[in-house]
Amino acid sequence: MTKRLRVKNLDRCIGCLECIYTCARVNERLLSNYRSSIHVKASGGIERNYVVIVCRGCRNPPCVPVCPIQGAITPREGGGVIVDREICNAKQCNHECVDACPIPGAIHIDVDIQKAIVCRQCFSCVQFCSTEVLAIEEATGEW
Amino acid sequence: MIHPNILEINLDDLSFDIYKDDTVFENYLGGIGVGMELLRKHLKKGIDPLSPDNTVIFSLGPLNSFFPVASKTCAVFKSPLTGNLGETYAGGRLSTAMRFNDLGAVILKGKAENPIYLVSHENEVKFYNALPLRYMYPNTAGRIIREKIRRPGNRSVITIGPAGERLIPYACATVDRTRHFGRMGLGAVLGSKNIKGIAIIGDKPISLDANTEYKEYRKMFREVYKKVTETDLMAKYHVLGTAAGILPLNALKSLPTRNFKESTFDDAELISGEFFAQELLGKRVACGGCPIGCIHLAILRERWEKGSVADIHSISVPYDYELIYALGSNLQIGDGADILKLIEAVEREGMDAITTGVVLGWLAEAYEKNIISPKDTKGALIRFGVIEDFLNLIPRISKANPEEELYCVASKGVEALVERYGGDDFGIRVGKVEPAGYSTGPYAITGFLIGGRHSHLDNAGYSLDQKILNKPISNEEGINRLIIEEEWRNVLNSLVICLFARGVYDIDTTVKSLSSLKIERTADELTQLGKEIQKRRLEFKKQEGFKLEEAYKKLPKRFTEMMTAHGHVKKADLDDLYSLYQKETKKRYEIVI
Repeated sequence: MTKRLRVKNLDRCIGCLECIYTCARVNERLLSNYRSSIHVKASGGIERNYVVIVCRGCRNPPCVPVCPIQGAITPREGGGVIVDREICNAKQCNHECVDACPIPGAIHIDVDIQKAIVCRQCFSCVQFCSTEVLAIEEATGEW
Repeated sequence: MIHPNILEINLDDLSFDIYKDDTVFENYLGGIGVGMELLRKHLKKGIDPLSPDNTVIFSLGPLNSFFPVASKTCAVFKSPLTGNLGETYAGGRLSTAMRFNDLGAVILKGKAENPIYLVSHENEVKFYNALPLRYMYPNTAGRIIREKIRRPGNRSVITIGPAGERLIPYACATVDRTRHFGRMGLGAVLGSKNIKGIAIIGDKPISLDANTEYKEYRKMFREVYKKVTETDLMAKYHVLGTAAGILPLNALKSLPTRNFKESTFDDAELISGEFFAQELLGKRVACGGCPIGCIHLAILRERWEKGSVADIHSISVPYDYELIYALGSNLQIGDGADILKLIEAVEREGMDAITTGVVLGWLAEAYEKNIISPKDTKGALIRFGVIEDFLNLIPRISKANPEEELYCVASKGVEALVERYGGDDFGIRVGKVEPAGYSTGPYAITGFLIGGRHSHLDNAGYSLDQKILNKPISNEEGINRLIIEEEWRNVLNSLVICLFARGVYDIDTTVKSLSSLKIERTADELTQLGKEIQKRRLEFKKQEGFKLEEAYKKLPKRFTEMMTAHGHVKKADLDDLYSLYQKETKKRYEIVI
């Protein structure tokens, strides 16, 4: 069965940001804290816990049917979506995918390239998560 | 190779300039290398450290954000504590914020007319009125500045506390709530410039195709990451953190206790890293780009003074080895929660915790010996082992009220106390700096003395003492090892890695990591650079009037009286090490200091 990314032990996050850098390094060939499909933020300050924001890998993704540009975003087998960067153009839509996703920040529009940025389930970040917050799971469950 | 910008801010007229100086980064890599060069260009000789003439330079190095644990930012300035080279490093998110704001260095010059905080983002620097933030705790001011920015993600905020605003020469600058430019009084220098806070926001992507050999870079990243996380090279830092050192050093008779009078502490177990982890640790967090997470945050439960059993709140307090030694064993405080209270009191004022602890140690001993009287203390009791006494003193020292002379003098450090009241024999300071917590033996003492910033981190004499316990070396070899170590650390401090990862970044790994970033330096070229930087640090110190002989003569007698891992250190050995070093510097750097 195809696998997907899971935020398994959120409370263990130490906020090192390696997942973000890895996503940008591997998928964007960038050193970036912004052009990444995974994000970490402090929830209520450093004294509280960190929050990891990333696509949940829906098998029936709400971001797909709302996209007005044919073929820009398509479901990925086993959960999640694939954005075709050739086709996606955030200047030609109202960012319907961002609106439709119930998890704020899981999909965002990069202002520089005007494309939707969302996890493509490559799992590179999992290898660089030293506290095992991130894991790979079989796509079971209701979503 | 990345060619970052330099942001130069002139506080006199709140103007700024953003420009490139590729040569300085090409020649000196970054960090301390670039810092020393920029200091040469931007700091006039012989100035008053608390005058507008002082210049502060924050600098990154080529590895920052590109590689794991390259998470430090270097700061150089003229220190108000020593009147000489000020050099200090901090973690947090500062280096990543600077990196993603395309800044390799920030230069602060002049003095703002009124208190301000400033926010740097892309090509903008905004200046805000900080008068309403007057005397706020560093973390309160930091939260307000973060809220003002209203921008999540990679931002970093440096703030100073009341001590910095009052120009206490060992005031620190707090970075992102839990990290510090702790030493040598950067907080006072920022205070003298009327800067309450500095925020940097960075969100600009950097092309790896343009700045790295992409494939090689990914390979090296993976290799370094594995060394960091899968070997035992850094294991101690993420488990117990630096506090892991308490028990082993205590067992070696190397844990300074009661103002360095003793080197073992009866209650060591109750202040050990193990105890803190079991009983007080709330969570661990990491600096940006470091998978270790050595920042240990304890939960301190504080009861209200006159409240019921339920009138309680809890706060998060960072702890480390040095703080536990300085505010714990050194003051004979044998209770982890009490140490947290002292750490928090120091944090709130924004002072250097090591210096504060050593100052308090001197006060307690001087009080015990009747060198200072109840008249001097204005009735306050200063007793080893009594937390309330020290909690009472910390804000009074930070206030430096001219009507309380003793606390005024204490606010200037141990050197000032000794000059005013005597007690020279137990005035623990080296080169006017209160030392870190290692009574390991002759190399710790000599290391403090000859180190460019009189820090245990300059050349790790404390570590050499431990390495040679069962295999003695000659004094010649010992001095040589300290010198070589300090030169190599100049390279690491130019990258700028966290020195906790010094075992990971050996010379071969450093050469290859740099090469993957299109920076070709041979091992020999790197060691030469380390040597050149050392020469520049020494030249700076000489220029500003440092005399090694004077510092040597002022070493407190306590250093030869206290027990160490090597027994009592012999004066003759210290003499010999000092002469050997003088000889070697003359030969090696063509300089007599």
